[in-house]
Amino acid sequence: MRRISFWILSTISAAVLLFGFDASQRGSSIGGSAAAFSGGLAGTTSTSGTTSGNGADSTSGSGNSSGSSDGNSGNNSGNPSSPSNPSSPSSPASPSSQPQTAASTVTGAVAQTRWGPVQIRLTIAGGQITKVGVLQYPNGNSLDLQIANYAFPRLIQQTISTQGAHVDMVSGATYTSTGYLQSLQSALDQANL
Amino acid sequence: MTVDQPVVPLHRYVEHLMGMPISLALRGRHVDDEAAHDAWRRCLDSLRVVDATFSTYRDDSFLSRLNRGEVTADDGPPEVREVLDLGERARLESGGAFDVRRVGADGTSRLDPDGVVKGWAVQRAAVAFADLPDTDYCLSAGGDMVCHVADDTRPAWRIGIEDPHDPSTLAATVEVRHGAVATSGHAHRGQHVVDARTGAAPAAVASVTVLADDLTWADLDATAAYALGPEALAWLRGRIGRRGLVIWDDGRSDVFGDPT
Repeated sequence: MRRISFWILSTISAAVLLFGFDASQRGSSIGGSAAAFSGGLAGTTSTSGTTSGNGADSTSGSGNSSGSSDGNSGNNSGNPSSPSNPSSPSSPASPSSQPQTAASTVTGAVAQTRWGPVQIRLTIAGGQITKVGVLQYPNGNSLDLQIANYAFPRLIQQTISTQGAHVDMVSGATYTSTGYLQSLQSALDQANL
Repeated sequence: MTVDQPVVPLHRYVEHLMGMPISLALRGRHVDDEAAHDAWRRCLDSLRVVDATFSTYRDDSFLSRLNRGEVTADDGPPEVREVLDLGERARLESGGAFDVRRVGADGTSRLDPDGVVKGWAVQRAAVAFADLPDTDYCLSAGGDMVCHVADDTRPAWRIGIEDPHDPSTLAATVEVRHGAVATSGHAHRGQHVVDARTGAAPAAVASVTVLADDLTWADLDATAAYALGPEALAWLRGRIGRRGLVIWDDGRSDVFGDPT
């Protein structure tokens, strides 16, 4: 429970930071937005035992970009590879916020993690985060691929509404062919979406 | 690269086997051509062979004959030994909460390896799609699935995790590029998993979802953790290479896993 509470708090603080970033984007620094990612959306630094396991994506790590080779990445080459990163490691916040009417999006700066670049985009409507998009995340060397194989489950009530969640497949307690008829998976299969 | 919306058209297939819906989604180069249809056929054939060997519902399966004492495990195909060995490993690693051996009221025991067979069989069957170049697949059997994205420029598969308290809604989503997702709970079939140490239905936990590199162990761990009831989360936190979600009967939920 405490872990989840922390996660909610950190998510809220991330949103606050990002809103703040939105309002003052010209003045924001890479450090500030990277902190927002690592605190709320991108998991947590692996040196903090109390918050492990609550991040949204497999992108834990600080905004530190260079040469990290601590004990947790022993078989890493030390340099985060960033083959898909179009911008330099120190690119400033890149931002595409629209006026506050209807939905707006906030695109965070590219945060350099130990495993490569991470960039998050939030869609905000009515003061709520309605969508979380990951524009970039680490890939490249084998460690990165392994890290990016699967993320952490992201609890819906804390990020997006169920109605807004697009999914490709549904995992649930095993259903029989009869139960399937009422299932979400059945709806997906029929819609062929 | 965005993973918030699908940008790649996908094609779906559904077939009912072993009393379960088998759902497949394909994206990329071979989604609805002869190569894709052939892979789907091979996948289903693989599952049918497993069903004929291991079904506890079919009197003529090898497993039923084994339970009647007509044959020994070593008389069967090598897969029988493989499945029983996996079950034994899961029993040891779960402290006995998971067990393919069921002891009846009269003291006789019989084998019920369903808890091993499903994930293992689907993981094997998914090999059929590995032959399709530049094609992503997500193969699900009754809510447990194997996912693969062949091209790094395409988005991850986005998996919804059912809310066990209201299966018409999702409790969480998770993105998977290569790996497996399995969920155990009592939302659809009622209470069918027991804690093998006591024979009683597990308490406190409503569902357990486990992500792992392969479905054999995602499914084994989800089932074992569910059987452990109140100990599910503590046990899962000690498992290497797993991530996931535990949803409790009281509505609380815990995300777990190694952040690295």
